[in-house]
Amino acid sequence: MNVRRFQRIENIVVYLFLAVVYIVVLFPILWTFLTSIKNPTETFLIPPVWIFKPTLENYVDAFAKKPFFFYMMNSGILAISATGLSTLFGFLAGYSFARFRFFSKDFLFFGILSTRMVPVIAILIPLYVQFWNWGLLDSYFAMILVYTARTVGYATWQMHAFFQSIPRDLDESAMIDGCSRLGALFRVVLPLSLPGLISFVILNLVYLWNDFIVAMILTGSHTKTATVAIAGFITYLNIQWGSAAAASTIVMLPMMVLVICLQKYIVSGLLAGAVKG
Amino acid sequence: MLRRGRALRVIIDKSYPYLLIAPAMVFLIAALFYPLIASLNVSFYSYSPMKIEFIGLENYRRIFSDPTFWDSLWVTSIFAAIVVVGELLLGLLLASILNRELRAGNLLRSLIMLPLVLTPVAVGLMFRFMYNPDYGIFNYFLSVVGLPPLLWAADTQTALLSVALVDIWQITPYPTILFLAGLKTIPREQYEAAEIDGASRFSKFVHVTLPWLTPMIVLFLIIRTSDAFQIFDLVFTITGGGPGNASRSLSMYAFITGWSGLEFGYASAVSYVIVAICMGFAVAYVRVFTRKVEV
Repeated sequence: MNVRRFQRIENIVVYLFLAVVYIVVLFPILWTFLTSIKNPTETFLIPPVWIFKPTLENYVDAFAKKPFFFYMMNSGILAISATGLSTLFGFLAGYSFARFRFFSKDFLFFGILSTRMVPVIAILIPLYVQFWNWGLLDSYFAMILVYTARTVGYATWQMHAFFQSIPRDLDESAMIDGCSRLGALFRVVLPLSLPGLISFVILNLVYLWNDFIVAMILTGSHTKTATVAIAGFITYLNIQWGSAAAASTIVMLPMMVLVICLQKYIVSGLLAGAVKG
Repeated sequence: MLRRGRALRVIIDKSYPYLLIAPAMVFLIAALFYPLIASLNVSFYSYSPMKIEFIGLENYRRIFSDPTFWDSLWVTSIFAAIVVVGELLLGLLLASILNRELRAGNLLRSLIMLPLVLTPVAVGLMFRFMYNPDYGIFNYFLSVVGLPPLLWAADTQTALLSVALVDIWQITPYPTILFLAGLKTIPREQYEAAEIDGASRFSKFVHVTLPWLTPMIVLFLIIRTSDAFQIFDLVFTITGGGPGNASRSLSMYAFITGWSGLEFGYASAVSYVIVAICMGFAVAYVRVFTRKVEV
């Protein structure tokens, strides 16, 4: 009896705690959205108004008066191109490390794996100077090059881990059946590693979509990304919080949709390598 | 003819693994290894748009006597300590709670991931709004529960903590997911054995759960400490490094000296301190990871 009462109290404590946690987790997102559909006059009211007539004025401001759609398109083009490249090249390199023995393999593998830990701030000055010399600042080419380099090392490592979980016999028997090595790779290994591949692609898209510092330095008016545009709302005087909230909501929306629709893949991507089995 | 064909085959077979790595390597060399080395080179120069002059180790000597640099190193270390410890403990707590049988457990476990994928710049900007001492919602909440208002990001005492709280808000889902998955793999027998020995709940946590999660905790500590030492986006959007130097992280300092002060040489030297710190973590990371790969 006593035990049961104790359990009931414990349950109440657990759910109360969870309620607090989820209010803390969700409130800032909700508040951003509410701010984005408020009139400028209501934005600053304290105590805040919770019930009000929603307006799309801030969205009109961000999308019609400012080319925010263009910035989002740039973010999308860059993230998708670079993710495509690093997935393909990481796939090939990962396969090589998982299936071959060759001279200086360990050295190369450590080198590639450690690139994930290189601080971006340390490579931006030479990149800026070099791209400036070549007239490549503010170009998709430069951004895709840097984004691919930033992510291909991790891609290689992840693919390597997927391939190790696929039995070697499978691609070898495909080769005995007359497939070329690349044929076996794309016909047998690729379909089996598809779930892992999707997790990698999604997390990589999120990472590049959210990048700010590289884009801030290397993009210009032709290639400006959404994150740079959002940081542009910060001014010394009178930040336009309504439009900033509208832009933030739109930038974060695709990420939220991803989490809700594809959470299985996101979780397994986050866990890749950290948890076995 | 046949023999030449065979020799060619051997060469192709030998070079196959290298050919597969080559495209990835081209990108890494062009946009990662090369700039990393070039940046080390720049750090030996007085390098600005006006003049480029070799000065040897002068930039590094300057670092040692630059109080602003030491401030930044201190600020960054404190920040890293707060967020890494905070996220670790909160992650452990949340994971053990979400691991219970809960109503709507699946919904809760998926909602917790939301902050993790949100754009840090947008998150920072929105918290800047909520932190505002005059019209921010946080001070309103404080007034509702009868507490005096705070200056949050505008006060040298609380600016760094304000940034750290946002980082904790955003990243805690990561250890939570990590540990949640780890908890699921603990064999039930381990707990049953401990129960037979009459272990209390706390001692089960210390003697069964924690040792089981240790590899994951180590991995988390390495990755997150390294990330925390590079903190930039949130500092840039919430405080801009201020007020004064109160929240100026190393990356922010390197950014300001490089892109506002146009002292590329000195900025490179400062960022090489970050490289040195992260290199230590990279070595640890590779060790841990490759040990896992071979197991």
